[in-house]
Amino acid sequence: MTEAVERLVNLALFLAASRAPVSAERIRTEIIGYPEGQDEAAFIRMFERDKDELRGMGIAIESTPEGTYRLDTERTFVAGLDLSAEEETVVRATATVFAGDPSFPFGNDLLFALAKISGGPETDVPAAAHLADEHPETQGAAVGTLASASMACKTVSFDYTNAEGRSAPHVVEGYGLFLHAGRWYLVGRDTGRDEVRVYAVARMGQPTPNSVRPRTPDFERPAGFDVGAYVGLPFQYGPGEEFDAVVRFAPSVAWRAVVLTGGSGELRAEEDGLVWHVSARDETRLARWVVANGPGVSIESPPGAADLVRSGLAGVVSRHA
Amino acid sequence: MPKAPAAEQARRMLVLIGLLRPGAQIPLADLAEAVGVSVEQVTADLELLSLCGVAPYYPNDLVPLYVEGETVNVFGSMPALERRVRLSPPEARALAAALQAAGRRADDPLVSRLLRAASDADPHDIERVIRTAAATDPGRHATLAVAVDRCEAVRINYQTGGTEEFTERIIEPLALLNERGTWYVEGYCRLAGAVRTFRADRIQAAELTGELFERQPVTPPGTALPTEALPRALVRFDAGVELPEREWPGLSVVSTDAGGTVVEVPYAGTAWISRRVASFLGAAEVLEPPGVREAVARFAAAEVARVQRA
Repeated sequence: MTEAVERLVNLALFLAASRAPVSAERIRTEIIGYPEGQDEAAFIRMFERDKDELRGMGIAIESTPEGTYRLDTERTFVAGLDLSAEEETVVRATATVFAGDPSFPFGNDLLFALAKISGGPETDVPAAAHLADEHPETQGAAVGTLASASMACKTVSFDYTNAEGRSAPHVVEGYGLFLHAGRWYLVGRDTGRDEVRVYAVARMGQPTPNSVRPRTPDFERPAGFDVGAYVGLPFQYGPGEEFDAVVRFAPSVAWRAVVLTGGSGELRAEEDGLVWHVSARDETRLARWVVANGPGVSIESPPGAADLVRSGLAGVVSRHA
Repeated sequence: MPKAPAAEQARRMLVLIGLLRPGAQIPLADLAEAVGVSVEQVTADLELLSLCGVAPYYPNDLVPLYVEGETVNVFGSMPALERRVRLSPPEARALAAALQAAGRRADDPLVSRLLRAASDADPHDIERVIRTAAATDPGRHATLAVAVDRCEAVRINYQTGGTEEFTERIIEPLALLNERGTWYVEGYCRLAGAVRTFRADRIQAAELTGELFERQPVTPPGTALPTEALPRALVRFDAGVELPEREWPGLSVVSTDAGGTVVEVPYAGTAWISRRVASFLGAAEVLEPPGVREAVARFAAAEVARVQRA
């Protein structure tokens, strides 16, 4: 392995140090790590793999029409990045906290990113994160695998245990991933059922990407796909018919509305606070959400949900009398 | 797909090159932390790196470093790659996802400037396939991060959970914590005269005071929601109600029968637990302690009156 590591580093250094494009033959003879006496075909295969590996690390190797190679310096080196001290603190503090969270699936990539743009994780900001609370290491590792497969458009197989406790194998074209309330979710087309579904990663067995033809995509992500469309509030899920709800935020809590609504629906400023028009599927959950996030949050429509708040609170009073 | 060990080590070594400044003496532990490996591994990486260079591989063509004791000494300039290398696609994705979790979406000026300068990635493309979906005000998060970093007291306008009242407080922020996507700041509150944890999304305004404080030795930041030392309440949930196990850290089931389930839950204050119980709209009842039961009754009665007034 040492030879391969040395060869990759030497190749990157050699191309970066070369002022003019270099031929494959020169690379073969001048870089320590390419075996002496190796036949031409084996060398070409090894060199192609090495170029791909380095490109995947941010080293942009370009081939010229003459069949030589050079480093595209514009696409290899950071340029024009001028962060203020405050911005640098924000980037460092944010990256450092998630790099240390096992449920954040890209910790290593994050550390490398930070090292590249900011010289490492030195920060005086004591911080800790627990993005996912159930089996954080397992979820983090699974999401890392799912994200890599999704980026490469390779299908993944996994066993999935649904809410009723039934387990079944699934083969899924993973379109995207989102984190919501401490859980990671995969959104993708279940090839067996031919429909797009949402899977809680915590309910999955170990996902296995399709290893056949690893460089060839298995599927194409639908045009315009946005995983954000699948991130909802509790009352937006469920089997019920979709309906429009209108919720009012009193002036005293209007400042929290943007955060509470999480980008769902439409917020309109009115004389007496903010009015939120949002789609929903479950009146009871809507009523519960309003009480949980109050005071100063009230349902204007549908009337049934507003009644649920009134009767529910009256029930709380009588039950605790 | 995961990288082969050789490629991963080479990638790490190329990142290390960017951290080695001519004339520097750098603790191995710092470099190990920077690239997320053990001191032993980073030492092995550096020793191998010292054998790498460019043709004709004379001593002056090699990466100029040697490891001595617990530090690495850099005794010259790098043979190449002295400038900062741009981010690979997975690194750009990781950074965008992390900043998203701090409330900085794809159209945030810092995110777009950062990714444009340091990668080929489009933050909007990343956001369409990875969503960490933090409901966080990025400005507030930035103020708190800077305050913790500089040890600078912050004046906050805080809306306590479950109430409409604001209190103005000056806090000496000690740590930032993120639980399930929600940010908290832990700090010494001068109003309370004790260390308190504040939910960042309940801080309406935060302003640096310019007043520095001495950082106190604090235990390594743990969780924003420690439940061990909190008082407990017994709550009965009616049959068929989904238990809020994940929303109520520390909840444990005491008994279950045909009528429902009795659980024990830690609570930090009666305002918080009253609103939580009330949000079950009568399908949950506090059994003990009496003080909490009365608080829930008072809270719900006040909410009924509020709804009737509205």
